[in-house]
Amino acid sequence: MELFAYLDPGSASALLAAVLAGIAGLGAALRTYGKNFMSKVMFWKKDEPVADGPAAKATPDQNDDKPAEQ
Amino acid sequence: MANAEPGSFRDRDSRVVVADDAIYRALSPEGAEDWDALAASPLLETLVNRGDLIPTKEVDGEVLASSGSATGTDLLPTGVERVLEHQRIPFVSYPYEWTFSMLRDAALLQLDLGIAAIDEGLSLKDATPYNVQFQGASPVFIDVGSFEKLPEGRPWIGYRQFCMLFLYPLLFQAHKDLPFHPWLRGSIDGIQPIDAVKVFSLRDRLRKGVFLHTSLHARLDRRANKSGPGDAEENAKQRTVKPEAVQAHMKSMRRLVEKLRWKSGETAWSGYRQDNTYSDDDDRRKQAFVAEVAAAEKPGLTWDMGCNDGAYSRIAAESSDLVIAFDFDHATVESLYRSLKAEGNSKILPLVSNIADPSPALGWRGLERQTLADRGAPDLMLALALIHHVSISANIPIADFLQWARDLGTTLLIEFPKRTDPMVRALLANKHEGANPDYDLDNFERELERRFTVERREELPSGDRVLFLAKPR
Repeated sequence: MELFAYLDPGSASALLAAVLAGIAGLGAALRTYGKNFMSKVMFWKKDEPVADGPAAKATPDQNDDKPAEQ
Repeated sequence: MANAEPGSFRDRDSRVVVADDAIYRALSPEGAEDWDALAASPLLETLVNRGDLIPTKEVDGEVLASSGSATGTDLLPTGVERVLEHQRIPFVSYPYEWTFSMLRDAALLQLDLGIAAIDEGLSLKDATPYNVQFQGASPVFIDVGSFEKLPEGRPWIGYRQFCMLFLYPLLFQAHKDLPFHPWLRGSIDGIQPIDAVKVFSLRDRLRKGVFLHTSLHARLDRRANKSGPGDAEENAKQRTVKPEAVQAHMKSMRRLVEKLRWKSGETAWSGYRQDNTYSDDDDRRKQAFVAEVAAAEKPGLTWDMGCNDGAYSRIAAESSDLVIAFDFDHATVESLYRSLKAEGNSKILPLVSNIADPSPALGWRGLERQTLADRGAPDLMLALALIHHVSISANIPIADFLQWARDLGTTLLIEFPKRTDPMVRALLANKHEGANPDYDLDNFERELERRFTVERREELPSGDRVLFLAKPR
């Protein structure tokens, strides 16, 4: 994998960025699965559309589950 | 005559060329591929229409040669494949001149674009506030060359740079009320993690952004420094990261930045006019004077030195193309920016600046960042309720100040508070008897006449202050 165009990402920082991406990505995935699961279980509640993908393109989804903002 | 922008050299695929009447960007073959990917996506049009990205179009490569610029491999190592033209930013400014909210809004713009890019299979090569400029009170992303095709598997490459140039300065101001300007002015690459961590106490680790992005970041940095480059590079290469995860990382950073607040900057009107010794009559006459002069001069660029709450900037803006509103006090300018932003004002650019110590030339060969005057000398300068601070507090001789204005070649609208003025008496009170002897109306007028032609002279009703309109000889 080609590492970078011209900017040195910093080896320690790239590592941390990879870890943080992993955590953040996991949080986002869990939330999606969580929504799907809950909408199936709570069948008496109205189904809400899952708000991921192109619709959320230009505006970041404020409700994404976070790893700590720490 | 066109010159390659001295600050635009790090990216071997993209080089900015500044011509007399246009801003060009030369792209290498690789750079052209990245541009094609951006141009093919709906993102380009969306961002330009929203005012988030600088309007850009392709032009004939001939423009480089015909404008007198270097071309081909003299400009980029792998040659020039494509040339773009960008809309010009009327006045360039730098993050060490911005207020807290300006830096924060620039950070949010950088993040929003990075997040949006990933949805289109694109990515941003870096994450620096020098990618962003302000049009009035609106941030706009100017580094079109930063967009590239998304290489799969990489983490957020700009993360470190984002921390060093955006996050740490914002954290200093938000959590410690520590002004970030000297840090950014003093270090072109920003603040290292191992240095940033020293500013925070153990208790600060509980604050947003400190533990993960500062403390842990610094710890990993120290370890990497000890073990040498080889290990960590191997480590990083083994970790493939999904684009969605990178996007989630950016989104979490966006949430963090969005929540940062600078409390001192929020107290309403810390920018309240310090020199509020006027009668209403004085105020009215002064406003009328400024309005008349601006309407007659129709300046392209106005500098309002010591703008305070921006009242006179606003008057001048009615007849100027652009007003730069400078003040020394960060909180004052921050308040002004917030007002301008709420109005969507694009004619006034607020900046933090010390007239006695303005931004220097910085970077490689002292050419990457320019002085204020090199970026655009004013057609009209407002120096209202200013000279007594410059002369008595900063101890700059009257003659020197006037020479500086003369050398800028600007029309000068200057207010001279006499020694009898309450504010002047207050400033002199702390000094010995007979201090600042050159601070005297007769002397001032003499020095002014030597360098300028005085077109208008008006004593304000209170009798303590005199306004002058002066044109450089």
